[in-house]
Order: sequence, then C-alpha cells, then structure tokens
Amino acid sequence: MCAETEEKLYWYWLANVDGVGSATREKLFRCFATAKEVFSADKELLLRTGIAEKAADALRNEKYREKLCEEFHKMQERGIYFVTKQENSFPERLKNLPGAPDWLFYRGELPKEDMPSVAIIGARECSAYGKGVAKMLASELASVGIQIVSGMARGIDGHAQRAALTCGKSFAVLGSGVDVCYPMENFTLYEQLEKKGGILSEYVPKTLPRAFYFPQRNRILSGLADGVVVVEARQKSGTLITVECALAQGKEVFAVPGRLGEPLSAGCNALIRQGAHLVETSRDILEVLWRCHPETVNSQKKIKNKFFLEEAEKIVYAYLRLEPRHIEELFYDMDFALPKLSQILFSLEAKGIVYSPAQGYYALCTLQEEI
Amino acid sequence: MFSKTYSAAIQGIDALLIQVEADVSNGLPGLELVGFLASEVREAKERVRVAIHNTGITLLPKRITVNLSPADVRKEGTAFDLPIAIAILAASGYLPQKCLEKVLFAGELSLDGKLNPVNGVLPIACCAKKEGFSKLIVPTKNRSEGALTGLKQVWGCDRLNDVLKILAGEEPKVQQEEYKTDFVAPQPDFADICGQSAAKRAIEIAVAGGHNLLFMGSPGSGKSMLAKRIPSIMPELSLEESLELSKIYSVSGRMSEKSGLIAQRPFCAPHHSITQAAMAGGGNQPKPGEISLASHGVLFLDEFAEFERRTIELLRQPLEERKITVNRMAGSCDYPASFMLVAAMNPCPCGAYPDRKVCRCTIPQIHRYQSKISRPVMDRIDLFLQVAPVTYGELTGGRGDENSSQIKKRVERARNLQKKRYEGLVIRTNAELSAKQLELFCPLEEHGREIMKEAFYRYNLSARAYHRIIKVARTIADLDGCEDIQAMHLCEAAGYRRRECE
Repeated sequence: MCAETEEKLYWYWLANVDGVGSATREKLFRCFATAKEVFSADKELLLRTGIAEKAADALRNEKYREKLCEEFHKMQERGIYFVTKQENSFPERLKNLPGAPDWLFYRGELPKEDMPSVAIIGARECSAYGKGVAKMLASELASVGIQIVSGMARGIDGHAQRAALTCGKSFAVLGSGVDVCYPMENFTLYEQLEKKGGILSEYVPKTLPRAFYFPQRNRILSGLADGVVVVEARQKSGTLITVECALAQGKEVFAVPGRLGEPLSAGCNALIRQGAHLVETSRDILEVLWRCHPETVNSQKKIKNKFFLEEAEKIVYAYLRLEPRHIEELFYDMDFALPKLSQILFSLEAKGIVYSPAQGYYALCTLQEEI
Repeated sequence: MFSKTYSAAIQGIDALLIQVEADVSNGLPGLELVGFLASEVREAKERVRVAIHNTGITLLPKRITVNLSPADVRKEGTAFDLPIAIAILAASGYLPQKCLEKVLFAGELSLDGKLNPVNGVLPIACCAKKEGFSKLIVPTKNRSEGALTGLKQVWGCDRLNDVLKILAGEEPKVQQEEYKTDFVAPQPDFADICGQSAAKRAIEIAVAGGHNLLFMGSPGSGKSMLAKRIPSIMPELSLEESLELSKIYSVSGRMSEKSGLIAQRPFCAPHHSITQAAMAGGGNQPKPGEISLASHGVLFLDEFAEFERRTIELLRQPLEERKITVNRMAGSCDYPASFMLVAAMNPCPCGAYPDRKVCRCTIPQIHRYQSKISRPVMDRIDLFLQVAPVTYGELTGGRGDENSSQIKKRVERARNLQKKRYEGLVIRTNAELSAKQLELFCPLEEHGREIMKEAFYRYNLSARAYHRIIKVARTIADLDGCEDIQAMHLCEAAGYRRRECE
C-alpha cells in the first residue's frame, strides 16, 4: 500500500471517530503532521495536544480501529468514494475556503475544476412560478456546460437539478450521508445524479439527516459554486444562510425578482435591494460568470428553444403564465368554446410547453423568450 | 275453528306473501303466536287482544293459536296486528271465512282499536297485485301509498271496527283516488350559478354518461352548490325507476300520507360522520342505507377525505354491481344502489393548492391527504374536476348562463343515443362499458389512436385510466351527436383525468 493510500485510510478512520470535531482536529494537527501519527499516538501523547479526554478516549477506542481496511473497501465497492483535503482530486474551490471540510464522501463524480458551476437554490414549498424559473435557468445553464450545484431538497433544488440533468451535469450536496436519500420522494433524482453527476457530503455514510447538518452543508454548496442563484425565498428562509456563506466566500449572488407582496419572493427582492444581481434570463448569469470564466462560457451563444405553434395555440399561449391559471379564467379571457380550448391545451401539453399541476389548472413549463 | 288471512312481510324492498292462520279450540284459555317472530310481532298478542275487547267484542275463553306461515321466514314490524286480529275474529266465528278471500291486510293496532300507519305499504301493495289479490286493507294514512300500484280496491280504515264493516259488505266512505305521482318541488337550477362554465360542462358530461365525479376545490368555491343542482339535469325517472325508488322510501318509512310515487331524483348528502351501517344499510332490522336512498339520483359526499376510510371502501361493491347485499343474523337482503357518486374534497389540508400564495402544505402532506381515498375507489371515478374559486366579476355579472332544462335536453339526447347503442345489453350508459365492449363500441380512428398513444406515455397512464379517458370521450361524442369519437373529444376527456401533484 503506498503512503498516500495509507494516509487516506487513516483519514477515513478519523472521519469515523465520534466526538472528534473540526476544533479537536485543528488541535491535533498543530502537533501531528499526518493522520497516521494520530492513529499511532497513545492516550498520553494525545492529551498533551490539549484535546479533551473524551476525544482522546474515542481516538484510542478499538471500536473504530477494527476492520478499518475492510470497511473502507466495502464502502468503495458500494460506489462511495472518499477524498481528503490533502489529495489533488479534492475540489480546488473548497481547498482555500475558511471552514472547509477536511474530507468529502461522494457518489458519482466530483465537479470539474475547469467548468464553471452555479448553485440554484430556493424554497422547498415553491410556487409554480419558481418551479418554472428554476427549470428554465437550470436547463439553459446546463446546456452550455455549466454545472448545477444544489441541495436535492424538495421544491426549487429538486426541480433545478432534474431540469439540469436532462441536458448537462448536476451535483448535490447533502445534509446526510451520501447513501441516505432525503427527501425520499427525490429518489429518482438521486439515482440519476449518481449516474450523470455527483452526490457529495462531508458526513460519514449512513448518517441520517439532522436539522443542524443542513446549514453546515450550505457552506460546501456555496463553496463549490462560482455563483449562487436564489429563485424563491421567503423573508426568513434557510436559503439565505447559503447566501451568507456565499458572500463570506466572495461568490457572486444572483436573485430572481418576484411580484410585490409575494411572500415567496420577499427574500429575493430583499437580496436585490442589498445588491445581488437581478436575474431575468440565464444570460444575466452568463454575463457575470463570463468575467471569471471567459474561456468556457460563450455568452454569445444563443439559447433558444424553437416551437412551431399554430395560430390558435399562440393565442392560448399568450394568456398562459408560469402561475397556474384555471381553464375557467382562460375561457373568460378568450373566445374559444370549452372543448376547443381543452383541445388546444392538450396539444400544448403534448408539445411540452404547458403542464397541468392540478386538474383544470394550466401553467407554462418554462419561460420561452420567443416562439 | 280454523281461519286464514293474508298479509305480507318486507324483505329488502320487496314483500313476501304471509298466511296468518288462527285456530280457536277448547283448552286452557290463552293466545299463542308462533312463526319465527321478532319481538314486536310477538307483542301483537296483547295489542290484538285488548283492541278486540275495546272494539266491543268479547272473545270466548278458549285456546287461540296463531301461526304466521311460511314459518321459516323472520317476520318483523307491526303490520301483522290487523291480519292477526281479523284471523282470530274469523276463527271465533265473528266473520265468515268467505269474506277474507282475496283480501290482504296490513296495519298496526292500538289498544283502543284504532289503526296506526306502518312502513312498507307500497311493496306490500305490489305483492298483493302480483299475487292476484283484489282488495288491500290498510290504515287510512297508508291508503294513498297503497293505491300507487294501481290496485283496484285499496281501503283505508281508521279503526278495527271500520275494517269489520267493510268485510261485512258496507261501502266505505272514502272514494278511490287515481294513482298519482309526487308533487315536484321546484329544484335548484343551474342558472343560479355564476361562472363555473368548466365545472358545468364536466357535470353535463358526467350526467350524460352516468360517470362518477370528484370535485376538488378550495372551501367556498361552490362545490356543494354545483352538486345540489345535478338532479335537475338528470333525465326524468321512468315509471320502473320511480316505483323502485318509492319502494325503498316506503320500506324506510319516508313516504308521507300525501306523497305519491316519487318523481324527483333523490339527492342524498350524508354528513361525513356517517356510520357504515347508515351508509350501506343494515342494522338489527335491515333498513336501506343512504346509498339505496340515493338510487337513481345523486349520492353527494362532501368532504370526501373526512369520511371514515371503511365507510368509503364499502362503496366499492355498490359502485360496481349497483346493489348492496346486507347480511345480518336474521338473513340477508339486497337493496338497489344504482346512484351517481359525486364527491367533493379539498385538494390539500388547507384547501388552496395549487395556489402557492396561500397554500403552504408540503407535497408529502398533499399526497397523504389525497391518499385518504384508496385507489380502488378512485378507480371507479371517471371525472376529476378542480373547481376554480369564483372571481368577483363572475359573481356580480358575467355571461348569461344556461338554465337546467336546456342542459337537460342535451343530456337526454345523449342518453337516448346510448340506450339505442346498448340495446339488448345489460348496460345502459357509457360508464358501465367493460374493456371488451369498449373496443367494440368506441373504436378510435388513426388520429385518435395517435393522441391516446401520446397521452399514454406523457401522462404515464394506467390501463384503467386509459380506458376511462375513452369512455368519457365516448360520452362527449354522444353529447355532440357524433357517431365517431374524434380527436377533440379525446383531448377534452384527457383533461378530466386525475393529476398527481408534484
């Protein structure tokens, strides 16, 4: 076993020891150079570094030392990989961050260094508007090669990642072990992410999600991204924690504006007031990012989906919004009879432009600029 | 001496002919009643004895035995008081046996010899007519109900004494009335509803094809108001249906003195706290439940998700077979239950989904709420409809709306088309089509098949959902008066399928 692999194994051991946090580790590595040294040090030596006795006991605990090698390999066989800060493959973006994790567990792959990445985040209980915008931004950005980072949560996160995976790559940073899918309803997304992107976490596999893990993981989420896009957030939203991390890390912050009085957009509007970039189209994001990654992002590239709509379809399309509208309202706005109207809506639905979140309600899937 | 009279026992909504035999012989004086009797029939012993005494007749101190035959059928109710009394009087020699031929009796006696009304006179009268009786003697208050079947001589009596007079050949004072139908009370009309054109259209389709319907919508959007108006656009009751319905109401004691044959389609809206027995029918003495009382009409279950799960589950059999079998210790009976199910529920616990401005329910919460209704029940519902909240503009004006009779005309036309198409088959409406019949009666042309293929993949349809769309499309085509199902009909039908929220 080469020295590097061996050292990795000791780091894995360190990750598994309960009761040894980042503060303890900092004390340890003031005295020890490698994890191997920590592993072989006896209790007295460990205590001299100034760590608590409990932590020292934990480090000497046999429980964590048995079958270490075997378990590490088993984990890798299950498709879960481990990477430490010392290694070259560790994401460059995280290396220099204050409070960066010492290691990452991941499934799939790690984000590419030379490709720009954008985090798209927002409320869990999002509106159809938020969903539409998130899907539009994610798919357009992903299609020009931008990696979409998010938290695989319900709502905006999930919608953005699902859309991104249809035409590009996406990465999820979890607040649980990488082999724990939370929330359960995103299981299909979870499977796709493993195949077409990556799932990352600083927590040991099998760790169950806990409320306080999520703000913690947000620093990694923003750290991995070059820019953070907030699609929908209430005035007091967990999303804003990620924004704070991003600001502390010096990342670009983007926000999608909403209507006045819309509680789900209050957080976004507040961010814009404080100086976040206002996002109307994916081009707004690309132009800012282009400054940091001129070589990869071609901001001149036109992002446009073309649809051929018939005259009647165009009329109905013009009356549709990202907010779901009831067929009743559409009926009053237009001169079509109900059967005709539902036929047009069906064909729009078939073309993938419109979807129906509940019976009778119709909304645009994403905003198209031109038809 | 032996004598025999006739009466009838209620079984389900039909009546079975019962012979009441009485024998007066020497022995220890007493009155004995036999023949598988419920306790209220056994108590008739005291009522009959005292009523006869108070009519001014003194029975001889002899041994009287009364048997209700067939003796293996359980008899319930108080309608046997009168036939028992008459049989005893005949056996004691106060009446000639000859005058009891071809007469059927039913009625409850009170101690002073008065006749009290009983339930289920309509099925008894039907039984009398079927068995070839010429006379039916019932309490006065039940007379009009008994006359509904068209039986020639139906006499209503106030007292036991009057009965004896009639049997002695005296003409009763009350004249025969022609059979009549119930007075039709003005029904709520669809013209009262502002806006909601989409909902009205869906209702029209549901009624035209006999489909079951589920409304979803926020509180106050008018679900109940719409549902209450559904009977007003249903086709007129046929005589057969009306008779069956009247029997159900008669058995459950809901026919009043003045009511004739029920001419109005029922609208039953039980509260969601209803028990299983009250919904399906049953009880110690089986009585029709709400689903039977809603026969040929609308069973409206408001707050569908709030009903007890098992209460909803028991709708499965009646929705499929259009009847319910109630099994009790005393035996089993069938009640008709061919109703149109109209259910209404909120889409989520707060009721506002998909309006995310108001609704903060999480997706799992919404799923949990909607899954209170099991799949098998949902599978029996053809049309799903989300009712939009009414806007102020619609509330205070809007377009001139159609009234119920206009809609009813279209519905009747569509129903007639179906009747013609399914002539000779058991089914009457599109909703009842089986998968096999669907292929036969609802062939799709090429364009239609393409659309259904598109829909199948796009919406992830199950086989049943696929068939359901075609059935609904068949009804829409019938409303249009089209022989073939066209693309337009399929598209509209697809719009009424159930959506999973995401």
